[in-house]
Amino acid sequence: MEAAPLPRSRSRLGPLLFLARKSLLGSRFTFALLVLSVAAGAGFQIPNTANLAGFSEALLEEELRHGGGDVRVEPREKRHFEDGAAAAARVSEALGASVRAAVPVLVLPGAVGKGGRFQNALVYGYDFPGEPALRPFHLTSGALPAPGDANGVLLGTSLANRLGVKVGDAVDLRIILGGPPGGAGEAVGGPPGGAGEAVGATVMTVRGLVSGSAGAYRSAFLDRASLAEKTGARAAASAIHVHLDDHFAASDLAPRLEARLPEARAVGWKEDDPYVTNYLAANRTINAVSYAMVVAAISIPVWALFHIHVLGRRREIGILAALGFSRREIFGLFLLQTLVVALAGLSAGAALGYGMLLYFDAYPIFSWEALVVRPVVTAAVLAGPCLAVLATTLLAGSVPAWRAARTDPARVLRRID
Amino acid sequence: MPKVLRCESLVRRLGAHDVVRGASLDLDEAEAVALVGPSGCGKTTLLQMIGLLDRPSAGRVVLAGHDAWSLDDAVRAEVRLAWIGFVFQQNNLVEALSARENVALPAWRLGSSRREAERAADALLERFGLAARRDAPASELSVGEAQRVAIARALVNRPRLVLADEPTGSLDSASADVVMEALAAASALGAALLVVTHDLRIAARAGRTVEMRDGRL
Repeated sequence: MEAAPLPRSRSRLGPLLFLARKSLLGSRFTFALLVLSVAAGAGFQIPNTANLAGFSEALLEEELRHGGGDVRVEPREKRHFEDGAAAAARVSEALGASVRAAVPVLVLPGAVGKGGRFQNALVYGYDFPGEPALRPFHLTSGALPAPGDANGVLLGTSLANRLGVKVGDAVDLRIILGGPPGGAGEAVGGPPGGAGEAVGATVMTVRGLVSGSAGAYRSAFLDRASLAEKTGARAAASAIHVHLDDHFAASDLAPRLEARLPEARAVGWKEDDPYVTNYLAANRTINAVSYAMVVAAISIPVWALFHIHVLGRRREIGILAALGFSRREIFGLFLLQTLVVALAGLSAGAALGYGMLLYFDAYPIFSWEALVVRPVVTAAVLAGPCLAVLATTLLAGSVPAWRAARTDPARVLRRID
Repeated sequence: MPKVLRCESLVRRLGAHDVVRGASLDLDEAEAVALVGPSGCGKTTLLQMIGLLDRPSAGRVVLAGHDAWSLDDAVRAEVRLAWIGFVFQQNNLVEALSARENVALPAWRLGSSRREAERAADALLERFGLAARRDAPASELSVGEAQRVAIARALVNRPRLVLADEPTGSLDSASADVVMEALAAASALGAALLVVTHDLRIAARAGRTVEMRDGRL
């Protein structure tokens, strides 16, 4: 017998899409449950990821941008840099274009009091007005002291509340000029200082109140030159706060800086501030756990419901196989249905997530001092949950689809299975 | 006359039991063969092996010169789609589809546009007296109507071989007559026809009758 040419036709998407639509519409309740489970997963994970990203971003913004910077540079042996501005310039030059700003600060331990009652506080000498985005505080009321204002002080909101002072009030400022920086915020019965310590005592006027979760809420800020004058070195700075464009370059840049400026000791924020590092790690862990929960919450119902869906359509699968649909096409048919479910669920979940984002933007999950956590919506934040939900749905649906493709039409059509 | 089908020593073993034992059968183009025999003798199993639904334990099914079971799954599916029309005892329509959609689906899948496939389906449905029922869902068709739709579906791609497994088994005599006419029409179009039947009238209309007993022809 002479062989006839074998028939060749390509798999066509049209009939498969048509059958997928008919199949899903024929199982509306199952389809609705599937979409609901995918939507719930996406609707949960999108705001969750956005909130955690917002938490990390707010933490970096407050603790580093409005805190001690990305790299803290101190003199290796001396008590302070004789000329803070010159030291800051040397640091900037040594690090090059990656430096956004190098800010000299003079930090001394002290106390602020009114009516004879004192509160411990770190006293910061700062070059007002500075760059607003990099100040180690947020001005909440009043005004910044003018450069050279020897009598003006900014008080942290918490410190002012404890002392019961407001903008325009006079306060007693005591500064330990010779002692090492100490703890702050403890109520003490009298002014600091003791035998052998030089204590500067000044009556200051509160020019403004400031907040800031990195410590500003319980600190005092005054003009650096005025504060330095009390130490006898008019341009002194105890540290240079280095702000980088990329926070995460700090650990690499700090050793390079030490190599170029042997007189300085440079510490990146990761090494200097385990609080931030651990908080960021905790956020990542919570996000990963949340992803795992969403994967489980989607994959189990999708797998189970599609499995039931396939079982209910075994006869139809057998008919399609008998008509000439290949295993690959039957797999594709059910995977298409999974894709439709995934896209419908993602759309509904994205709408739900958007609503949740609006809610959390209006009612932040965390708000204290200037640390206000609002959801961050970026392409990466949205893409992560969407891709995870899409991949999970497709993978979970591919198992029943594979089973569908393995259906033995002979047994099914003879009703053996 | 060219051979459409050659079965060579087909065996189908289920566990320790041979359901089909060395069945050999040839069919020429436009030839109609009735396969008769008692229930459980292996007729449907033989038909499913020939229809490329059930892999033989031994032997060969040669379709238009090709050892069909040696082809890979995708090509075998193509052969089923293009060369074989299957009519089952129970109509086995896709319930979610209308009569017209059921008939058009294989043609659409084979390469016709959807519109062309529906035109071909309409022509066959009209020929089998179902023009008025073409949009009815498969689940709402009577048994006789559904069986005619199934035959139309089997013929829509102009197959070389039509396999019918007791196509009138569940029909009244009037409906059975219509189905028999439809199968005769398939044969007239040049398809080889292999009909499993208990119906002596169908067997009498076939050009040749083959009896199967205990898995042997």
